Amino acid sequence: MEERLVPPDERALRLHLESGRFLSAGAAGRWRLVALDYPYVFIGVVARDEVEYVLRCECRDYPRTPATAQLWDMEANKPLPTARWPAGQGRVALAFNPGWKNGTCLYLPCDRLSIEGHDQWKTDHPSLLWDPDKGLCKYLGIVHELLNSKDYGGRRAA
Amino acid sequence: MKNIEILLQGEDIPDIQVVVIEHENAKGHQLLAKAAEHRKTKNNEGEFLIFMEDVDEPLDPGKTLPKSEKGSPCRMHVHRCRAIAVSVTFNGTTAEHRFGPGTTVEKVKRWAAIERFGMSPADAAEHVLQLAGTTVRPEPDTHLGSLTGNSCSVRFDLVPLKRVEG
Repeated sequence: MEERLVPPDERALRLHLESGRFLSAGAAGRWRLVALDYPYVFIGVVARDEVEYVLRCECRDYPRTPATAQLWDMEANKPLPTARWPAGQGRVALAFNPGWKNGTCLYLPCDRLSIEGHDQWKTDHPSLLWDPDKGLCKYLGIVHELLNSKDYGGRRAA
Repeated sequence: MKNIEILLQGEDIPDIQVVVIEHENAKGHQLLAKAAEHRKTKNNEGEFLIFMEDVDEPLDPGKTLPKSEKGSPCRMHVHRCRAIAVSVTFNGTTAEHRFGPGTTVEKVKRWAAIERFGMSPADAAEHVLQLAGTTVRPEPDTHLGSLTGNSCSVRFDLVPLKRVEG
């Protein structure tokens, strides 16, 4: 059987998914790997009400190029309907905004699509920028923090 | 023969390392040897101590390492400092305390925000520890001893999380 050559970006992603940083958060119940179908990886992030939100992260040219992620419905294999998105009044509503690029990415400085045209975020939010050394763990940590914040108000339709 | 898996942090050890030690009755000395392989500078002078996460007292390296709970890997720390002097500044007031090197940033934040600065748990969740004089905000499961450099101390600012707008 011919062995598939794993490209460097996929190899880097797989290494990050096996890293102590990723596994530590998994063991603490903050997130879990749901599926990997490169360049997509599906990761469930747990909110403070124990609801798990799955992010479909697109990781082309990882980790040199930032990932971009959207909320995903694994059963239907399509974007999560807006009614099941996280609710909030402040930081959560801004990050999980279905009106931003039609809900195809999160409104966060670490997201590849959202950082475009937002040069001021580099000085306003340096701690929220993509970090190639930490890769997805950085992105997921930011999302987990939002879903466990005071502002998080459960699912929109719940 | 069963292996034990350990999530290891420590002085001069980058990030969190997954360490596998053969045999479930492994002693602390074996972990210290593994930790030395992960140190960036390979500086092995002095006595390194083993700590369980969020426990202030070091383990006896001659004794068997504790078992993990519920199938999760053990979380341990290796450091030459017996305690880390921590200061957290918020609104011009500084709180100080000494913690074990394996204490998590999350535990220190809760101590500072709730116990020392009187926040509710909900308000504490709207704040984060940032290394003083930087924009670096260590992840909540980072151990204090990973942040000390060549000292036995670390200084934080407690800062509010800002909305992303614009």
